[in-house]
Amino acid sequence: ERADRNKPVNIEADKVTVDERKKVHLFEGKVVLTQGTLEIRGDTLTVTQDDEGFQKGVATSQGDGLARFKQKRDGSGDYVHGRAERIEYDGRTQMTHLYVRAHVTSGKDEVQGEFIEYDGYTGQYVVTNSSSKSANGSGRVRAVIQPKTPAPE
Amino acid sequence: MRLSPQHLYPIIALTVLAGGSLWLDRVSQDPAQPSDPAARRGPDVIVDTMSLTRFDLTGKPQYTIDARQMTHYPALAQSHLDEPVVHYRRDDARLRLTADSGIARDDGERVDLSGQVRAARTLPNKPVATFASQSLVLWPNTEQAKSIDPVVLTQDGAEVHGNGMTANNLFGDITLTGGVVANLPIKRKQP
Repeated sequence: ERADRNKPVNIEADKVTVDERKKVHLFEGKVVLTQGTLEIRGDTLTVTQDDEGFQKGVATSQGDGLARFKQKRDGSGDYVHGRAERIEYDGRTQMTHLYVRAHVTSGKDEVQGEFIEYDGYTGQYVVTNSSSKSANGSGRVRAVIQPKTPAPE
Repeated sequence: MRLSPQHLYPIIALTVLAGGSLWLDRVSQDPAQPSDPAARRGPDVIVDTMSLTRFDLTGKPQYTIDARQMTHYPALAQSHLDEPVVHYRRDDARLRLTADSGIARDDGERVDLSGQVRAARTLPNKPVATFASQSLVLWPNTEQAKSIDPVVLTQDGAEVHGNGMTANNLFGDITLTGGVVANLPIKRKQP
């Protein structure tokens, strides 16, 4: 949700290491980040902050677990749910990048691939089968987009 | 070889002299005062309104400890401090710590602070960072610190809580463990 970007960020974890020089906070152990309707979970979360105060978070999970993400969509009230081995969230652009075994559901829509970019502003996503936005032709992506029932005449 | 009286005389004289000085030493000692400092339980020095500065190997002041009162215990090789204030410097970074009480070891290797321990750390062009807990152990020479009590760190509106803390570098690398909760406000710089 658009209002999320102006909400404070709360993070809970077992441990945090602060590197003052690099301005990096490394959270470890059952990490939960919340910012308004946005929630990111993982085993580790690295948070950096740019000069204007926007935060960036990179969440990963150990073992066979996946980092998870959810955020309310503007207007619709639906939640977008995502999971992947690595989730990168940019507080400035409201972009969320999901890498490796990426899977996003929004209402009944569902997409899977090696990389998913979700735009928190527009609610749109890009799915590719490579590790970045450019497709490289080897794997496949899978998308199930439910027809939106038109409003009754 | 037979020893004649001439030979014996110096030996006898020296023996008498040594015995005499031992006797004199024992007689002149105050029996109430134990000669070995380690055996002394009580303080040997009390200083009111104290300020002690320690210099590093290059001769630069490393830290200063002020205290309302310092009591030195030789047997423990440590000083007990009332209301200590530690001023720690490194280049142009400053760290100021206060507490209800403290214990400083004679070798300067360790300072234990307890009761309302507060710290404020200033780095050039950086907002002040603060620390609050009930205890803090400081190893000034290696710039390390540790607290086994709940800790609250703040800086520029951000606040981080934890059940314990270790600092590997008093001016940079800090780890909080146990029940970590961080609140990072959005601090947008006005365009």
